[in-house]
Amino acid sequence: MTDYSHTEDTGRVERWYLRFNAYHRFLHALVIVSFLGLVLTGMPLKYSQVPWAQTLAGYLGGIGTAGYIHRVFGAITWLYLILHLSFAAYYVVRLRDEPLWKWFLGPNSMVPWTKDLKDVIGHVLWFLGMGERPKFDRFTYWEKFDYFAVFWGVGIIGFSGLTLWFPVFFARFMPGWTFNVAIILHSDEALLAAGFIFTIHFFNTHLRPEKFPLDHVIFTGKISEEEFKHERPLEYERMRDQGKLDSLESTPPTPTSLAWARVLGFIAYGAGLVMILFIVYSALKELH
Amino acid sequence: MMRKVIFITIVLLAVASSALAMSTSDCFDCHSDDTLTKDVRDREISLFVDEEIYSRSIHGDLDCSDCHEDLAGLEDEHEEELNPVYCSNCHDDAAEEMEAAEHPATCSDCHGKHDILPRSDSRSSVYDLNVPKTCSGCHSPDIRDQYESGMHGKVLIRSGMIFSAVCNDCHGDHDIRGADDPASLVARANINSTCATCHRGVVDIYKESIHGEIFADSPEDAPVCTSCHSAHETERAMDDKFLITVVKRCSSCHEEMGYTFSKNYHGQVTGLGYTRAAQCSDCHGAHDILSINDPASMVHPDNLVATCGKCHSGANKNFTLYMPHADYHDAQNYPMLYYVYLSMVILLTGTFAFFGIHTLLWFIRAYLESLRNRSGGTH
Repeated sequence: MTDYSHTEDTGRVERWYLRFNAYHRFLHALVIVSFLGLVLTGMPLKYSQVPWAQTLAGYLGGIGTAGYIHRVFGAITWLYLILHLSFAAYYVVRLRDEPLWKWFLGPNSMVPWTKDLKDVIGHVLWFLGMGERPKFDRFTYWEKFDYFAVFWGVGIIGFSGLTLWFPVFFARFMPGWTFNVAIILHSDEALLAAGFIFTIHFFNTHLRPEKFPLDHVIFTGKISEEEFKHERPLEYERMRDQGKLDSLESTPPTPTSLAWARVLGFIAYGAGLVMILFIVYSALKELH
Repeated sequence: MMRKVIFITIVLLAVASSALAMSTSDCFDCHSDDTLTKDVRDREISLFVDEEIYSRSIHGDLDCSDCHEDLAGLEDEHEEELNPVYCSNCHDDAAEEMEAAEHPATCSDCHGKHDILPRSDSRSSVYDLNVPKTCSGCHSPDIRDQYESGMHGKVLIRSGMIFSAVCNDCHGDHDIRGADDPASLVARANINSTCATCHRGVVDIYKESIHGEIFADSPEDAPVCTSCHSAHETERAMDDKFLITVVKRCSSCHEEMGYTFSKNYHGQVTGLGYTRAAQCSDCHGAHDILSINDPASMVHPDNLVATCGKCHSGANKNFTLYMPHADYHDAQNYPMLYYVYLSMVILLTGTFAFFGIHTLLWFIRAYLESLRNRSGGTH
């Protein structure tokens, strides 16, 4: 196994590659900001019986103001969904350089396929010491899960949220009890999302020993050659064999951009970890 | 001739009385000394009477002996200990009421002694503006604080409106009885009519409501004015402080409804201090509250469009199918909500169980790998 954390000691000049372009990073920044804002302003309502909810609502300027902020971040969520779908459509129509079905089931698509199932099994076997670590491509199965979890989450939470935002309008087409359903879906799906992002996603992406304490790639967009080879060997080899590796090569991240990545990253997951503590505390308190 | 006789008689009587008995001016020979005291059970009691204040009091034209009867006919000094003064000799109605009500105060506790003024005089201890202070001479200052923080107290003190209710307006002037005495003005069965002295219109509306109907049959089973508005801390019904606590007040009887309300959107935001969302009275009414089965009820299905529409302008029949008291834990009454909730629980449990184990195993493996690498293991 390659330990890329020691590559600087070798004295060799390290190559860097671009994994996420500015548009990807911008959209992910919108996701971070809006998601943290939504959880922060939504939590007091979900746990309105627990004393800290009142305190938090007070800090946010009262639950009325919190609700207003919540709707602003909700609108940003719809915005990034639309921006992403537009990009996806543009990619499929203009940027795609392989046949549609091949792209759809291939490594540049988010669609899970048989390789992902094999990877899940292989990865778990590796956890158990019963095999080699699977070789991953551009998107791993847990990244695809994250992607579709957000997609599904934004769909469920976003649509139920809209009906609760404009109930009089939606009552033209839907009976009022669907708002009762919408509240359950909105609230529990949000719990799933927050719980997942603030624990599983944080661990898979940042907190596991190879990445600890922070993987800056989503902020700088850049991945080192060693990490590229280790984490995504199939993509690396494919690009090398196709002679496309050079087109991905980029300058190393500057110390300033790394510092920014750390500051923003730590703020985001510090906020997330505090919120998950509140959620766990409240959920336990509600059980009693 | 006749006039002359009367004049001489008066003069003679005056001379005779001044010669034989003590007059008020004789009393002040001693009692105008403000250092004059006596000891009663080791306590120094002032015997000073301010002649000017006395002469201005409502009793200023009376002689001392009119009240201190044992002074009558005395020529010079009197016994150190005088008999008590019996106000009832003149004020028999008030005294009878006091005695029947068993209010332990004496006349002077409220009205004063030598300084008694008519209640219409703003310096009187029983003038409306001064009543709360006078009563709190014996009663706990907490009650006065509660009163002053309430609407009646604010109107009286802050706005200076003497028509606001003060203690005796609700508790009676002399007929002051404990709330557990059925004859008391503030006994449960009498509260409504006591409030109706001023709030007549509201009590008339209440009488037509479901609460009023129940009250007519058995006062113990229905809320009375103070059940919702409290006794001393009467709040303004449109104040946030009142609106926030409406739910608590209604749920003291309607416990189940209060619980289900607090589990739904209106209740959740109300619980967080937001008063613009609907509270009980916004949908059910307040003094005019009716049974849901009454066609005139605000929450009768035929009236829901109008009721919801008060806040949600444009609400239609569909809109009113929202269930503001739904409880998704209740599979019997809300099976669909229950199964939606159950599906979400399964989804959450499944996702967290799978990824929880996945993450734990991954962490152990990755940690072992990093240890191996650090100790110079195979690359």
